[in-house]
Amino acid sequence: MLSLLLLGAFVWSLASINWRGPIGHAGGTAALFDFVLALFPPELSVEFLRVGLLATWQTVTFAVAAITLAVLIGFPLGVLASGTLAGSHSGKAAMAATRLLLACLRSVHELVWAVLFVAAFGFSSLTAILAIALPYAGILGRVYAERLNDVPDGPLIALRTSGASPMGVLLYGRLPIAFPDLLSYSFYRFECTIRAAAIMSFIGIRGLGFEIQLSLRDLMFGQVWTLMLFLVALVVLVDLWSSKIRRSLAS
Amino acid sequence: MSGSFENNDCLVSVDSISKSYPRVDALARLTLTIQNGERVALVGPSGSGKTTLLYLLAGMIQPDSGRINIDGNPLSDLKPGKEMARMVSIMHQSNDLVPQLSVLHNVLAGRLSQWSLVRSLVSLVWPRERHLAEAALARLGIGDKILERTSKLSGGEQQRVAIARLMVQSSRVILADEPVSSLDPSRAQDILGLLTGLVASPSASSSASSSTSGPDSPGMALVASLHSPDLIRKYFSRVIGLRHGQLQFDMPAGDLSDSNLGTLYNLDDDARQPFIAGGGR
Repeated sequence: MLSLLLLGAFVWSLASINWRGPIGHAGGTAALFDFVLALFPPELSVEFLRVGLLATWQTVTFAVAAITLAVLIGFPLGVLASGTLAGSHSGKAAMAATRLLLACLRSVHELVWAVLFVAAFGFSSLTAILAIALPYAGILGRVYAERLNDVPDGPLIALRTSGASPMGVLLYGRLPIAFPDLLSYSFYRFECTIRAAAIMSFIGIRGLGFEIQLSLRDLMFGQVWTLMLFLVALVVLVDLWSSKIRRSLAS
Repeated sequence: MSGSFENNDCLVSVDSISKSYPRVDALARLTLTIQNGERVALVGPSGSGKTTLLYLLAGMIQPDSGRINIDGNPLSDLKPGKEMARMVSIMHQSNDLVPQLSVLHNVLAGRLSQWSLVRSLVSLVWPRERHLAEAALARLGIGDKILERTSKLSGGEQQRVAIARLMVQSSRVILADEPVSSLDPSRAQDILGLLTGLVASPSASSSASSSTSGPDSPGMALVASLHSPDLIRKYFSRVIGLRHGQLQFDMPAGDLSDSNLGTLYNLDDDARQPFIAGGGR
């Protein structure tokens, strides 16, 4: 039923595009051509590379701070939302409350949070970090809760029958079994925070996205490519790092 | 053997317990007692109530009627967790260890019932009561594996880790649900030797409970379900035959004959009873 509704929405969106006229605006093709050509070569002057490195550094610091905060908030909420500690009625209530809280956190996009926080803290790093950390805490908490619930039953029952409390089962069963999953998902989310931190420039916070926007405005496509390559390199590095850690965990 | 009176040596007394599941009577008014030091084998076809009896003794499920006393205390009065874990422990069909944890932590998980939350947490980083795990693993011949990741051990070694966990839990009654069903004959002998050894020599196992037990080490008992008459005669002191949730025979293991088992497993009769997967569990 829901799938049909979504399919309908998709078809409707296709119909709303004007297929007769040109999809791009006049001169768009030429601009696209210029943009692609600028990749050969991108802007590689020492001066500009320093600008790019500084911007990269700013973006990385925002991303690291944001994902750290998101894990710190998301993990305890995820444990509560998983209901694995909820035996009593109050536990069940706490579980429902945390699920609602997580849903609220992640239903608001980071840019919207950013707009809210700009009003409170101005264009500071705190704004960028909080704006990313809150929705990501919501996503992480939700996924952590799911992974903690999906752990195979056998080892947990064995722990329970040897007298372990729900907390003991969590510490010696669920967490160690789910840990590789939780870690690799957190790394994936770290990549996403890098992207999100770059995007924060749209509300005027410095970083890679900010520089990309400046260069775009000046039509310096070579510079735009350089900065984008920095961004790609960053994500690839995180990916390599995370797969290295995962391998060492698996062995 | 199955004394109808309660004396000092009576460890487990099962008084007329019944348990039924929606489509099958798993146990019907079963009564028996188990003395200190007994090694009891449970036999019977699938669905005869063996596993139900073990789960009832472990407190994992509650009887519909009847009472179970362990060491004179009603099982239902024992506090789940701490008190329960001191009285009964159960080894499941699959070993059900946590593969990602070290052998040491999997063994020490048997102490969780006696540990506070803080102690359990601290122990994940700085293992507590490590000597208990060391002693148990050494006795089982895998002392050198203590720091290995459990997933790296062979199936037989993992079974020993599961036994080591039972040893550090050091409960009075040890239950085992088909501990050798998936093992080759020589390894089955091995494992049964170790399990029955826990009960036969209480002095060695009491080292694990030295902090909790009284001046003279308390008696223990083993109840395990299995099928092989040879293994039963070799390793057990008593054998109980169950069929359709009722006692068919209860005798010294040495007296078990193949004709006893023949009647017990008589398939003609069983064919009429619908075979319900897991119904007798």
